[in-house]
Amino acid sequence: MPEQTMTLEVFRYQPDEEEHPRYQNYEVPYREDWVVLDALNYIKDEIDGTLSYRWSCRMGVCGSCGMMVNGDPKLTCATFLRDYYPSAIRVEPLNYFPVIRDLIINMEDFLHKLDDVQAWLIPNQEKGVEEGEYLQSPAELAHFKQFSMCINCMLCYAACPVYGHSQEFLGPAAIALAQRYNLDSRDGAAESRAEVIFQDVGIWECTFVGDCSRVCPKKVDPAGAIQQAKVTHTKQFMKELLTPWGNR
Amino acid sequence: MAKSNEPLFWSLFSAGGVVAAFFVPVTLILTGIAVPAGWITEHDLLLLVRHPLTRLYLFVLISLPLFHWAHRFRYVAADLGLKVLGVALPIVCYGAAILGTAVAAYVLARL
Amino acid sequence: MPSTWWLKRKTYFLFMVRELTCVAVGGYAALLLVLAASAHDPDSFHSVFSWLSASRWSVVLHAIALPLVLYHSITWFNLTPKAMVV
Repeated sequence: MPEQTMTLEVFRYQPDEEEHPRYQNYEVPYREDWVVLDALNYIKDEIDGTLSYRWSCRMGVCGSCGMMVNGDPKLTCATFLRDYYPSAIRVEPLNYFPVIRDLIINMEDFLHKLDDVQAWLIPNQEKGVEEGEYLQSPAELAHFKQFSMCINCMLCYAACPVYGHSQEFLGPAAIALAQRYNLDSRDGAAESRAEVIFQDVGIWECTFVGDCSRVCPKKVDPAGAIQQAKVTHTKQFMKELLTPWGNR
Repeated sequence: MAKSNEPLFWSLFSAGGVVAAFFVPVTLILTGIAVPAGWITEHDLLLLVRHPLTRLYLFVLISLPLFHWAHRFRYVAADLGLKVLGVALPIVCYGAAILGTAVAAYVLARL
Repeated sequence: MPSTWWLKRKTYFLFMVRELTCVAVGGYAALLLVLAASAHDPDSFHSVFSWLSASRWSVVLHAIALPLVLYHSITWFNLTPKAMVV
């Protein structure tokens, strides 16, 4: 029996050498248990060593193999060929990010945004080692656990038309992570994050399209996080409006 | 970096969204089905509209949904390519809602 | 982004429908405003009432608006819980 194959239409681009991107077709073996990343690795090893793309863990944890698969942002390590066979699959770099080469995007913008929202734990009160752990109850953990599942894969940015319109927008993952630390009982930096996320280009550009939550491979629900932050800001705003004497 | 004033508009948008979600469909069935079907007479509807509680109901159901419209339409119009209008777009939208609220307060108060 | 971006994906299209329900909501508020303004005087109320009960336009506009406002109600109640911290 001849081996079954399928076609991958792969986005190729070297911005410093080519004026325009092009699509290159590759015939790869079709295997039921192969994911798109397996097919890309096959191309790289057997057909064309010049193809460039990012990947690492191939098990949906590292968040580096995000690409557009037939126009939808996907982790290629979790996207099976069998869901597309026998049609061709088009593989492109994530939407809205500048291309460095082929399927590799420049993620500087996102990294700056993570920095801007201080996406790390800033304790209320720094404790010495001898004072023991920062304790937290399961109920306190439940407030933010869902948002802590983010693997920084940026699929949510590639799904977000608001980010597509303006890269000034802080975007889904950065806000979800800000919310993750704001809701953490051990954290005390919500006020300094508020300066960033409560701007127009923070949460308020979001029109709640909700596609970020649909494409999230970890079910983080960034759209929910953004709406929660809108409610928090609105409560503060109303409090300051109605009790102007209460402002520090 | 300044915090946004959006909470003001967003809370009016949200309040309008809740009011519209609860009450617009039933009221729409009244004017769109009950009236043409003859289930309610002109006289009864006039008495109903003039009742103080109905006037309060109408005021809420005119004003807040207008702000709901203003906020959503402002963004959706920008999405559909009217971003070129710049600051005129929100001014026209929220301005219409403020005007509609004022007119509603006036006409309902004089009944 | 081209202004037709919302035709690219089903979820974007449904988003656009959801947002455009505001036109039905706002338009209906305008109709209620006309109704309220006319109640001042029986003659003008009569003409509004006749329009509601007999005009083809009234039927058509109500028929367009009803599914849109229902879609607004459904999406609104579905999305509101997302804004709550669990």
